[in-house]
Amino acid sequence: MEEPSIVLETQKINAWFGKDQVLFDVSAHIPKNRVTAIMGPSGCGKTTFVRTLNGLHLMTPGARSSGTVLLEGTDTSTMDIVDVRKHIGMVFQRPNPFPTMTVYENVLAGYRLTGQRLAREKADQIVETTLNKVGLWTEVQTKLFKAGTSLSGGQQQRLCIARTIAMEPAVVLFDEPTSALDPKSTAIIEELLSDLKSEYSILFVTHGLQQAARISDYVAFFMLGELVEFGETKRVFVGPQDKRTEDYLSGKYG
Amino acid sequence: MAVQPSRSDRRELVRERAFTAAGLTAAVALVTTIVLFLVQLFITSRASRAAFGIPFLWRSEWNPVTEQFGALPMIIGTLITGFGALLISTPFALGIAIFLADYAGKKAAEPVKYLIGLLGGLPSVIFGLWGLFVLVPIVSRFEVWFGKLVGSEALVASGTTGVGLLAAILLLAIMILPFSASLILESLLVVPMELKEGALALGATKWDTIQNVELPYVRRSMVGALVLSLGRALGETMAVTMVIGNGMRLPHSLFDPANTLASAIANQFLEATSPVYIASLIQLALILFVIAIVINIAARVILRRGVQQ
Repeated sequence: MEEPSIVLETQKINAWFGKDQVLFDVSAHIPKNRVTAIMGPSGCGKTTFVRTLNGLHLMTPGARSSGTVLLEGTDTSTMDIVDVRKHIGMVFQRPNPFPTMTVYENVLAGYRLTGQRLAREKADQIVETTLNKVGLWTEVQTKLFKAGTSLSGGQQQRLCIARTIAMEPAVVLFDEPTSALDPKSTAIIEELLSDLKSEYSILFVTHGLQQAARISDYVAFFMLGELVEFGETKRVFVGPQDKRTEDYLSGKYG
Repeated sequence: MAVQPSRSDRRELVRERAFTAAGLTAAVALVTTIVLFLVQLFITSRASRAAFGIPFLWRSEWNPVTEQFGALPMIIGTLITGFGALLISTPFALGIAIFLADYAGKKAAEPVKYLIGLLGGLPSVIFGLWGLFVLVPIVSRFEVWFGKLVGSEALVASGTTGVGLLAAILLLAIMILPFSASLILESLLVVPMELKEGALALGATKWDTIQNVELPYVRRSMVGALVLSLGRALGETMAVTMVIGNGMRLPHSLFDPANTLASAIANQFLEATSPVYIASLIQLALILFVIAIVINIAARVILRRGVQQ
């Protein structure tokens, strides 16, 4: 496998909630068109890490961060935060389709929210292709104009993936997107990732080792706010270089 | 062998039964009081219904000398002041609530919320005094100015008082503002964080999020809040009585002195001497009672649907 290029580079990211520092000098190179799993025990800072990438971390009262994020070489702090978020999409832990919008409107929510008007044909086309990409088109074709929240949990989460990729981001952050879903819905979303990575670069936060092994090409292992180990998934699982990674993989931490 | 309840279990049981009984008694007493209240209003207003019947609702004459009474001017006055106040205060209430929920930091929002609560708890007679000494003179000056503008000598002449519908509407708008602002604020605060973050993560600005996610989400509870505020405005007595001018004829303009159902009762009860006069005032109270109940039930229904959604 040839070395992928780098889509996202972080340099010495630190993050705080009030006086508590939760991330310490995290520097990482996220490969393009690959699935990178962010794993580690609860409270290790993996969610905070991805939230610093699209600036959501700072929405929490009292939160601060420092360091540099380069998106395809551009320092994101020089970009408008709105543009950063259009390029770095995010799917959340629990499905959060907008309850006052239909399935159709949910797919296009990013356009509507940012005030971009689409011609009817263009809109229809985006909805169909995007829902196809997340394998939802045949399932919801007849329910396009029902509330997004009327779908099942797994379908709702795929709808949220659809509304994220409808904006054509370069990177998609997944923050434990299957933790609220049943095994079957989880499997569907895991399968989806291998299709999606041809177009998008994916960061996938998970606390499940099995899941990280199944889905990812690369893993970043976090502990107590530090990036302990980063590398190709096979290499890290077979021969971890850091003692802490080895202990975690052998089940010494929860 | 049956297990014997321990002594503390038995004591707990007795306490629980006593508490249930006391609670039930209180609840029954409350409901009974309201029912008796309605019955009482109904009985004491009988003379009015005997004299005028149902047409009392749309008769517009109110003359204690000839003992001819009709509720239409007061019903109109109540609706105009209530809806007028709601119309004026709602944009401000919405602005305050959105600002406190999404823009002001916690440090700024807390004291303002406290002040709003304080303002809402202020006795209405104080609002009435302020209305009489500050608001009414302003309205009076505006009325004279407006009268000159449209060339109406009648307005210029009556403008020397300033009391009337407009003063009542403005005063009510100010009085219900803290109430509706805090109700709307409560509903905005329960919009799930994950929905706001979902919108922000798609590149929406704060204002985009408020407009397209938060406001649609709270639409129903907002309507409920406004209906509750309307209920307040319709029933407000003291402050309105002080600035509305006790006019018993159908108002022809916003500057006319008028009466609401509540202010008519407050203004005239002491001077009501004949049985039909008294009964007619109580009949007004009955009408107000029914309006208030209908409004409150409507608000609850809307609010409950809002929660279920």
